[in-house]
Amino acid sequence: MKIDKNTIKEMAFWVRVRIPDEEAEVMAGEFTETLNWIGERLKNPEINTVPPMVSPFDEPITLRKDEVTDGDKVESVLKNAPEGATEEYFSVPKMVE
Amino acid sequence: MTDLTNLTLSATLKGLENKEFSSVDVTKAYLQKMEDLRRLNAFITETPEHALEMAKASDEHRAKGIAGKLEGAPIAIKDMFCTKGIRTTAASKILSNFVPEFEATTTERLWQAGAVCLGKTNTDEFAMGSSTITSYFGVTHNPHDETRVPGGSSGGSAAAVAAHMCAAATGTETGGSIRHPASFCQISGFKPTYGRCSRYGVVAYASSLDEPGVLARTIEDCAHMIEPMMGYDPKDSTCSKREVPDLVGALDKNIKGMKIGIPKEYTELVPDNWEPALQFLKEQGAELIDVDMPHTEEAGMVYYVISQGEATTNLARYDGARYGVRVEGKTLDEMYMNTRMEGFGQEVRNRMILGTFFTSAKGYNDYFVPAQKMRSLIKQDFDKAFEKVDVLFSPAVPIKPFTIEEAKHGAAKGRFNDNYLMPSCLTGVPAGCANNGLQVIGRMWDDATVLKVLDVVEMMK
Amino acid sequence: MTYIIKGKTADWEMICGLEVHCEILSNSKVFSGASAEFGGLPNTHVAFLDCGMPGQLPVLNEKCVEQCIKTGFGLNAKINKHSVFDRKNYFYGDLPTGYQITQLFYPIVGEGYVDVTDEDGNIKRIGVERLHLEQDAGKSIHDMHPTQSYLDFNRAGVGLMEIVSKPDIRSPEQAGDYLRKLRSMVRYLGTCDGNMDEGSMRCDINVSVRPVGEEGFRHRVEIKNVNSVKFVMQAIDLEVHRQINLYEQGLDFPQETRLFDAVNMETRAMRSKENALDYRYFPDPDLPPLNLTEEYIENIRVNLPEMPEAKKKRYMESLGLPEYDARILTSDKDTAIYFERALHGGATQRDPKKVANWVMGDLFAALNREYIAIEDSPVRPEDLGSLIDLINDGKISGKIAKEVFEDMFTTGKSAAAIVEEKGLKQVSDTGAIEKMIDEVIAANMDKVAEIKAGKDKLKGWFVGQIMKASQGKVNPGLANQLLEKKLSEV
Repeated sequence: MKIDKNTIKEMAFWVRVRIPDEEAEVMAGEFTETLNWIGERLKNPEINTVPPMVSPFDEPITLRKDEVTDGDKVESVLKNAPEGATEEYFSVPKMVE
Repeated sequence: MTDLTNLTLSATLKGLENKEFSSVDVTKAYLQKMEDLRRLNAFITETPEHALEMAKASDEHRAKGIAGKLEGAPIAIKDMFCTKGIRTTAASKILSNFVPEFEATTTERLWQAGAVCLGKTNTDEFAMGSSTITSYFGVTHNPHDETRVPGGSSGGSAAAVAAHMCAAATGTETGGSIRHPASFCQISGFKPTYGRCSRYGVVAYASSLDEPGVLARTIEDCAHMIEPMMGYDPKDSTCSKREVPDLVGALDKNIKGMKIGIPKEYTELVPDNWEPALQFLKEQGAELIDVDMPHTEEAGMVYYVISQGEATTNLARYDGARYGVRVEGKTLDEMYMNTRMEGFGQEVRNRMILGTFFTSAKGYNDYFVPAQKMRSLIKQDFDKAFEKVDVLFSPAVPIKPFTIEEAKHGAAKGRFNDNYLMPSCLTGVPAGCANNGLQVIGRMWDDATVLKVLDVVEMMK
Repeated sequence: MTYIIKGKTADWEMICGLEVHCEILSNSKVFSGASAEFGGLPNTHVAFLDCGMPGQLPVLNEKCVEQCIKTGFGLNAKINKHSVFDRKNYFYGDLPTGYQITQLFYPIVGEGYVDVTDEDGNIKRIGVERLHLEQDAGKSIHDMHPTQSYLDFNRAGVGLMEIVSKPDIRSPEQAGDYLRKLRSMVRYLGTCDGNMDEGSMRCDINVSVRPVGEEGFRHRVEIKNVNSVKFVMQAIDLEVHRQINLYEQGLDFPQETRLFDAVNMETRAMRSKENALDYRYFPDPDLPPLNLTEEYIENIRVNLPEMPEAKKKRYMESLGLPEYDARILTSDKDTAIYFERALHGGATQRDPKKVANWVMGDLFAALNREYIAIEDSPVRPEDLGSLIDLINDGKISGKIAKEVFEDMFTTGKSAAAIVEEKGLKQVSDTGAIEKMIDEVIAANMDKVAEIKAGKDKLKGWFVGQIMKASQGKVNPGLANQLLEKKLSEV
């Protein structure tokens, strides 16, 4: 598995951060190495004898009753909103051109 | 009058009960200590006025005879727990102005039990680290040697406990973040079974690993502190309905006949007190049994894949749109980019970038799922070991704390930094670290036995 | 006639699959306790989870699970006892957590089907791939500020069922009927209000074309968020022709996402950035898998309401209604409810055909005229039933009944009350009727002579005169009988 600079830059865009070319280059090299090392360890055939473990929690899911128990607190919801929000809405740069 | 901050949490609770001093007295003493030792940078936010109000209320409760289990005890909260009306930052610039309108379930229960809030402690940014050096609010210093790190990520809590700036503190573990700084600061730390404490209101790092827990000067203090935090919470789908055991009552100092496993993979490097400790446990009547945990070495790699994969999605919500710091931009994406570039430190950004690989179709199939399978094998190690023994015993972090300089140059990435801690995080079993740097790991849900054995380990001198 | 487009170079057929999003009818949202009701003041139906606050965790609403299973039965589908929630990661203003909780790998409902009527009136079976449970997104408002979009999270986190069809649809008509059938089904089941105007049912279209006889699929285009049956049919037709045109000019086009513009009647490509979404999925560690017992599923099954097809069959077989009537009366749940209430008066059942005629005739006409939905009809079904009883008992004539119905529709009063008030009761007093007949005969002796000469048809004319004289209040049967008697006496 080889990760190049452009893949790193694309991955950075997926999480909406920027990364300068030089840093991306270094990261790509290191990450490729790490992935190869991990890839080796994961070749262990034992892993095919077990299911993937998603969580340590193995008790059944608890379902909630269909009742309205929350909401009606627009002031609290908007309390930490960045500048530009109104008393009713959050506000972000225009999403359509 | 003696310095009230020298009392353990248990002694403080006794003193309060016997009316030897008031909560206001002990709270003032801690606030003074916090001021005196501010240079350690253990706290991100101090809440002295709030603390005194709570202390006064506690004294009134005691006067009326309606004291909770922690009534009047001054404690600190890791800044990963959302506290209503008190700024909660996760040590990140992106949340540096965030004042939650809600309270984490665990802290809510601490306040209900009568605890007094002194402030919010420092941590690595979003708890990602083991040195408490990536905080937006600066490095925390180890009280025993201020040129050294306190460990992490709950380094602020550990330093505050060790320097007697609080009677006890909350912490969170994802890959060892309670036991690691507890070991580096020579205090006690305990993380219960995954599912014992609600994660509601705790800023998420990697949801399948994150666990609230506690740090204190003794294991007995840990037991006092953790018991009210535990128990079912309908707001967290991964919180167990099991009955909370009597943890303080379990500390009977009797381990006669108990089978204690020594995993050989955890003894490659041991501290000086290791051999005497084994001798001591035998003297206490325990039977020591060697066990194999063959997949221990894979824990770091599994942790790397899973924690980064989960973190990248957990941190997507910090986008400057609804709360927290925003850096404007002309388009929505530009605002996201500017905000997240400026708001997150480099370590967090890097983990998020790499994490996206493990959630992409290729990374998920080729790495994430196989890593989850390896996680199952690590769990199998524990299951097999616990067929033979009641608990496992090992060193926690068998190295000396790094200097701050060393840590800044990546020393924390070394092999013995957290290898003995991560497997128990991946599997969710309860584990704790005694104030002499030795750890005990137990069966799922058997939190009481872990604390009981640790309490005995702390009897050793 | 199957839907084949004759091009310059070939005969083309279309291949289409639909992804239909149905907002689940429930009181609260799928993972939070905030209200799931449509509308509300901005950001009032919002819990901290719904605006993506730190440390907030999802807790699954049992009703949403039940609604998915019911709908699964409506799709004749396999209910999966084991399903898992995944996070679908992407950034957008209306998505407060940066990921949508959905079910990618293990959906709650597996394969099923919907039978539709195709353009030739034949039944065509459209396969359903899956139904999964997920969260709706919030709403963004773009016209309140020159440079800003406003965000309202009232809808964020409302439960959605996404129903994914197989690429079995071969004409716009089939797509239209598939949607109509789905809408009728979810309404019957009460799992979604099916209201496409309010967006509680939305459709994404996947469509491609190929020359008849060609194997495999060509490039497929996705048309997002089309919100009426008519638009879906139009969008498919436009897109199919656009693709064929391009192919016939020797041009290719990218596999892309387009929008339907109902004003300019065209589909157009979304900006490339919107296209560049790479969704990353992985299982949500905040939610344990959903494991259902046989007993739980069975309990939902036995309590299902009767579905349109079964109901239609019953109307035809046990009520003896013609296919047409049965289809119309069962096409919509509220119509069927109305019909069945009007049909049953206490323990007795009225004549199904007569009730059907009234519902489909006068009632539908009046409702259409006034734009009133049947569930809001001013004439309650019980009252329509009583009106029919009055006719059957000979208390009023069919003609008078029509007038009474109009009065009922305007005033909301019962039939009996109107008949009483206006003195419309039929005259059944033979003495009075005989007197009227005598008068009519006396005034028309010439016509009596014609009848005697064999012109039997004129008897009808006489009855008409009698009805007229009585202002319609005479029981026509009785009038006929007495007329015969009187004529024979002349």
